[in-house]
Amino acid sequence: MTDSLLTLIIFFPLLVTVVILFLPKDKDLLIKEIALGATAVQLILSVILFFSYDAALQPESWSNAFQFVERAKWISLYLGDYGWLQIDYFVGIDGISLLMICLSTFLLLVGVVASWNLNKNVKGYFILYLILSTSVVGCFAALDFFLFYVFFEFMLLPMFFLIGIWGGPRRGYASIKFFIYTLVGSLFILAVMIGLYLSVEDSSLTGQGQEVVHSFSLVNMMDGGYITDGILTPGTSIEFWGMNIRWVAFLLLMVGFAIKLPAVPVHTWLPDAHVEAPTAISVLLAGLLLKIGGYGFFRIAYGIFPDAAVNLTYPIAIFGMISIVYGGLTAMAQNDLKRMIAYSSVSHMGFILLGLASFNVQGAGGALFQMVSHGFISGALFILAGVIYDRTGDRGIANFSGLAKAMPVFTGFVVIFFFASLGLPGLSGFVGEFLVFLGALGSDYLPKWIGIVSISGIVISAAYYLWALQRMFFGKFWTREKVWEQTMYDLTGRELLLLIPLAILVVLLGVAPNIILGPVNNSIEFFVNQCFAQSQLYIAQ
Amino acid sequence: MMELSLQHVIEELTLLRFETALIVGSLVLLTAGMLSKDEVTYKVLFSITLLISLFLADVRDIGTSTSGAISIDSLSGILKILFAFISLWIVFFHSTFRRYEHYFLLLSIVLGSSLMLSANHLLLFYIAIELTSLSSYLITGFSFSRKGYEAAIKYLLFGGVSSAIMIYGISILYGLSGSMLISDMVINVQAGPFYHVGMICLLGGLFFKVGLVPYHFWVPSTYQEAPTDAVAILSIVPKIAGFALLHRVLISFELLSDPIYRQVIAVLGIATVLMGTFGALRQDNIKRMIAYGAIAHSGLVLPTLLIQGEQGGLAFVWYVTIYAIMTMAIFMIASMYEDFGIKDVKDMKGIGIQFPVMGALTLLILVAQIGLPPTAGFTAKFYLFSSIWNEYQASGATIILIYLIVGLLSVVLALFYYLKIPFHSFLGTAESPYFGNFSIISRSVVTIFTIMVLWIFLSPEFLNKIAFNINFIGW
Repeated sequence: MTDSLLTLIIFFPLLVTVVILFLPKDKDLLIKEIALGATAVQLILSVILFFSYDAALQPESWSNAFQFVERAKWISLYLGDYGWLQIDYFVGIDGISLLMICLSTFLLLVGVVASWNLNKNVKGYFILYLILSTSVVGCFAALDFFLFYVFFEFMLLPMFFLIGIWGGPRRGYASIKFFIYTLVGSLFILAVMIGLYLSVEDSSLTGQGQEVVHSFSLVNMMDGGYITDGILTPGTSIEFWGMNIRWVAFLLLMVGFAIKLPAVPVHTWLPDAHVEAPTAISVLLAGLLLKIGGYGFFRIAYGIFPDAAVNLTYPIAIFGMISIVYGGLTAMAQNDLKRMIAYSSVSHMGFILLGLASFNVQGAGGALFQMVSHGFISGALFILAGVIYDRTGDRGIANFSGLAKAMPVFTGFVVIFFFASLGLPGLSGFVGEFLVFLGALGSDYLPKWIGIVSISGIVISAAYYLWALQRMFFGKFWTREKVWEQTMYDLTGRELLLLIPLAILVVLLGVAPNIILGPVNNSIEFFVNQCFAQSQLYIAQ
Repeated sequence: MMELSLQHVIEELTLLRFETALIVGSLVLLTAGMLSKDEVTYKVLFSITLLISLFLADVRDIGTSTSGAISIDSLSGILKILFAFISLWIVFFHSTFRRYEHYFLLLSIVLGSSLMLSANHLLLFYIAIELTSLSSYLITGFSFSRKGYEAAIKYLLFGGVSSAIMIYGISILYGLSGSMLISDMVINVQAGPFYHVGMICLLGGLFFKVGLVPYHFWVPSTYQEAPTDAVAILSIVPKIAGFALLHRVLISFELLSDPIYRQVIAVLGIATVLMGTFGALRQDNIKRMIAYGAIAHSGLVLPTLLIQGEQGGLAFVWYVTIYAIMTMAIFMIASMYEDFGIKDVKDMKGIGIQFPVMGALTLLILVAQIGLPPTAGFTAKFYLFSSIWNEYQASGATIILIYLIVGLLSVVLALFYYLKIPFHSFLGTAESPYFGNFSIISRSVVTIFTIMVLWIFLSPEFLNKIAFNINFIGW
């Protein structure tokens, strides 16, 4: 069964989509149950994946760094004078993708429960939801750049409609903005992808008449299987505006994934998308889609262009620092609770850039941990914001006060997740940020002041979370509209069902981070060492 | 000058059996049209003609006929098959009664375009272009509306002037070389100021045919007003033929080795992409928007002509084949919405919610037009951008890199305008529900096209095999 476990996890929801397609439109509950079942199966499969993953594996090169590998020929195209092009269905995981897949399947299940009360066009919603689920998981498992790109792009359409049809009042604007920003980013990636495959060959395959076979395999790209005079071959003399073309390609990838992440200054689609998206979609957006940006940094930008990465640590770290500080300051200025959380996401995603830029095991491990922990925390925060919105149709921070009196349990959860997000020791947010700071301050490539300025991000996040807590939850119970007071009942069973597992995970990861850091330790170490070794090799060429 | 005997005529008729079948078929159609008033008869004759010629098309590399006026090769053979195949779908357009002249003119357009592919003699070349053009002017007016006549007259005036300029260019070239055969002209002629004047006039005429900037003014109003099935043919068949012809001229006269010509053509191409995309951004009328989108597509086909070697030819064939399929599909869809009385994007509010299947099909075809996976549109753009990258790698010319950047930019902008349709049809709310339904035939045909578009993306082996066997002489 482990032979095709990954394929099963990726495509099971798509299979279920076909079933839903043939169900009558008015069977809302049945469709919800099927979607719940599908995501539950996906989660169970990925738990099996997690436990059958061999954490002790110490790879020597990228070609044996991946487990559960499945590979089949997909497309071979004739390129005329340039030989052949080979695209494979090629999936496999290392520790980094393992964590991302487990996070995805968990949050996808949470998302189905969070959208249980939906009653507008349920069939369409869950069809798109399950397509989205396939493309997200596929993205994390793909080891062929083309396959990755297809999953990456295929995420956009379902997301566009999920925001655009089921979203809030300005959904049209938000969905278009999301689509266009991400598409611009993905075109940068496309340009680099084309340049890369033209420069990379798979020497194990030979075309008809000994022609070069250009490969999209990420493994070949990371292991440096370049042809001798390719445009992106290390040591190339081609320059673009006075910059080596490999650096340009790396920067294009960074911009492409930074839009998805998002980092300042290309983050402005995120608050709009979050505010308009329905709760479950906000959870996925913050919990998963942003992580694809971070994952892209790991797997593609850093994995393939370590020589450029090691030379550009400084600007990347500065962008990370700006994201942390600017995102935090903007969050402080928001009146809308959901918008505040969205900006806090921007701030927390800055840690991923900073961690990667420090180019050491602590930094990279911290970035990865931060991705997982932020997935849980932000998911919970958006659910909490959704709770207030469901009851009143409003999320203004200034429109509520003293909610602790009316909704004590709810307030309890808010406190847990606010503190987790602001990095209180003992909760998961702390571990990631702490590791990133360790990395940044101990890095050979970064000046100390970048780390020190970034630490102020924690102070800023403490400020906006505590301030929001004080304004909304403490003091005398009051709401702007009198009628809201009647609807301010405490958490329902379904909401508790959503929040309790997330709270347990956040505490567990805070107390015992080794649960996830243990299995991926070897992968992270290999990632950093290999990036470093190859960067030296490429620069020498 | 070679003596032309009956034997040569017979030889050329066998070489031109695709065209001969079309001529015979259209004459039969004309006769039948006078006898029968039944549109089904016309449709049957129209499709039989195309089917017969489809099977007669010659995909071997034969080279030029004895007189030298006609050349037959695998590339032109494949393109002719594409023309016949794609034109066949016209009969499935659901529309008001069409006269037999309508189908006759469509056949003439296909005939003229396939002659363009094989012409190696400037007079034949001119006649082929004029046959296509005259039929196009006429059919533009076949919507029998005031605006349709206006568009037809505009088209006629522009076309007439450009034809005059082109024949003037041809006459200069003839005067310089003393021959009308392209192969002889190349040997005899020497580059000089007159040669360039003649060449520029000739190229200008061809640019008009394929709708390149600054000769694109006829495109939007013609596409908007002409009958939709005719527009589908107009935007595919003569355009592809025009590009193939343009390439033949560029190669035969060795213009591509001249950096100035390359530069100018690349600049015009970039301008075309930009004009098409920015023009489309401002449109609300569906057909007009597609028309501007088609201008942008022209600009994207053009760089494949500049890429020497098999790679360029392959990119050309891939792009135009997929362009033909997705353009036919989108006009089919446009005509289906027209039956609902929907002409503007804003009239589509909520239609996708009411007819989700139709909405989804429309969405997929539009995604193909934009060039996103998982559709053939992505395969085409991917192949195109790969070959441009390669050309940049080989030549290092900055203009090629700019072309690549503009091409990528056009994808983003295409998203802006094409997405307006699903945006309104899914995200908008209808003021009142739509009455009626889409005809089952049109829905099935659009489904077939959508499957084609997805299938080419998932498994391009079939097209790859065809493309692999084409001999790109001179590319």
